[in-house]
Amino acid sequence: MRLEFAQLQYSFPTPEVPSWSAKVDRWYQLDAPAYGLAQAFSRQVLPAGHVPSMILLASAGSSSETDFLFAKADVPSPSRFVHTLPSVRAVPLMQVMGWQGPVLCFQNDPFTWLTGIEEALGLCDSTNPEIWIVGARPLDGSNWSAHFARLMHSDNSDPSARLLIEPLKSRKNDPFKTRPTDADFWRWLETDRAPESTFALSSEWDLRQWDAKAP
Amino acid sequence: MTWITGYGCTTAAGDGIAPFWRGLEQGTDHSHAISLNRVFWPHAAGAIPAVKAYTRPHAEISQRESLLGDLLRSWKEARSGLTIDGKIGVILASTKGFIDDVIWTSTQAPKQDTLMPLLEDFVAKTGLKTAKTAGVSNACASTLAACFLAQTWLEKQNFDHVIVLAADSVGAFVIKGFQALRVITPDQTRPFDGARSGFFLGEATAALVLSAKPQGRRVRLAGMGLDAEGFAVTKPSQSGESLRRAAALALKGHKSPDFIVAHGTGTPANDSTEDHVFHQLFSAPSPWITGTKWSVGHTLAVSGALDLIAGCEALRHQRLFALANTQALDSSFQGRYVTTEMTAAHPQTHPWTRFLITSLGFGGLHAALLLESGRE
Repeated sequence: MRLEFAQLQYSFPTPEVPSWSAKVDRWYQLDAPAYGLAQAFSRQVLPAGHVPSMILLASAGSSSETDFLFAKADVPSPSRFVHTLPSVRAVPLMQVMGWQGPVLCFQNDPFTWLTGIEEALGLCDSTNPEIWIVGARPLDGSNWSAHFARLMHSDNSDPSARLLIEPLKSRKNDPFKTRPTDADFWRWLETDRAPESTFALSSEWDLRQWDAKAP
Repeated sequence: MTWITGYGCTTAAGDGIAPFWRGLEQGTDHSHAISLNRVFWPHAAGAIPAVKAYTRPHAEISQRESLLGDLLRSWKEARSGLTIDGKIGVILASTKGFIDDVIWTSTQAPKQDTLMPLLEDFVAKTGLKTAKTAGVSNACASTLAACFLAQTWLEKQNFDHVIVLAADSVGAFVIKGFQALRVITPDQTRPFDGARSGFFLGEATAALVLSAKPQGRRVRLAGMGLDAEGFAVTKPSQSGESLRRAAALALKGHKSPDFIVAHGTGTPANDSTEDHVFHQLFSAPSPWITGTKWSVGHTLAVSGALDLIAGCEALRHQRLFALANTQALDSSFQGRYVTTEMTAAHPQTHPWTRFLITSLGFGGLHAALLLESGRE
């Protein structure tokens, strides 16, 4: 199996009207993660032309920001309330993609993103051959990151993919004493680019970075 | 194979399956009011809306403690008589968890997750040795989505048991939200009625034990379907395309169910979509169609679990419960709905062995489950 990974950094809120505004009803009422996922797809963070058999929405932080804004408003906003369900983030993404299919929304802080990857590794097979794991996280100030990972059952990774991660059967037999968190994963991804660098995802899987563009 | 081997619940009817089932059979509407003593309404949440009251004892505890207590009671009932050992997983299905404990006094977006700590509390209190845990939040289809995940753990990852917990309570946050959406009925939850006007919220917890081998309740998870459509956030498409696909997946390779426990919220959009989909899936006469929300309210993430329990009890008792508040079916509907008059006029002709559950969630996240009694 191969995992293609990409992310888009964006600012939110933004005064710009997105290119996909006609596809999403009331796009201006989306929260930051919902906006980011739609924007990242439209900017082709993943190579174009691929269709997932399933989407896993890994919503780290749940809808905390939106919950707070809803609670603090003098007049409860119905459009803001529906975005307090983290699964609703899948809607604008599906509208921009023109896609329908099974969606599972995970919430497992501080392991939400890694839970998405782990569960995708368990779900991906010949009947479910391409699973996308998507999510968004705040960076600093008004900056966010929307991240997409595309897990393929067969090794048909796209040569234009920016970053590949290879899931490996773990050599570890013992359960973790300290389970790695999403923060550990982002740190590994961003700082440790040595060719043989691995990240112990679970007692069953390691992840190894492989830069498709590296000579 | 995946088996439902145990279940338990707490609802507006009281603690346990017995009062829940009794209310369904006797046509008791426990949902018509929300006790001000039971609703989590911190002072910081502002004015309390006018609601009627029913009495239910309420101690001065946090929403988190209250949900945990109810979950533990549900679990005690669910695990009764079962041998639960080997590789065990736990999945929590919830929409907002203990949000009211946290949100009203926050001065910024809270960092605290209001779901997974509840699951951690449960595991700590029960002493279960778990190989894996997860939280699933697919809106009102959360329980069935959790069952989908549980099935993959059992059938692909060699789990012996997966406990699906479901919990949502009625508090200021969800009341304000659903009032803003204008889906709270001014009188009663009347699913599939021509004069339906929405629903009451209900609070509940449930524990389902899914196992790789049969024991206990011995109801088989025969089919499962999960699908989503990006139509609109708060209502399904009129065509119900995504729900139809989910139900078709669940029904694939099986005969028609004997009855359906529908989502049946009593909103114009939901009930129209479900009727349309059932008409597409089944030739006339359709299987009997009923629901539980008229009795215990819309329990959000827990609704799928209560529908599953109600359907299993209907198989066990070989009796089906009516949509007791539904007085005049929508004349445009084509399904065969279980109203009080219909059950009297149409006696059961064969033993029931199979039922379908449908769940529709905000964001067009839908799910369907087919369950079958007995056979290994």
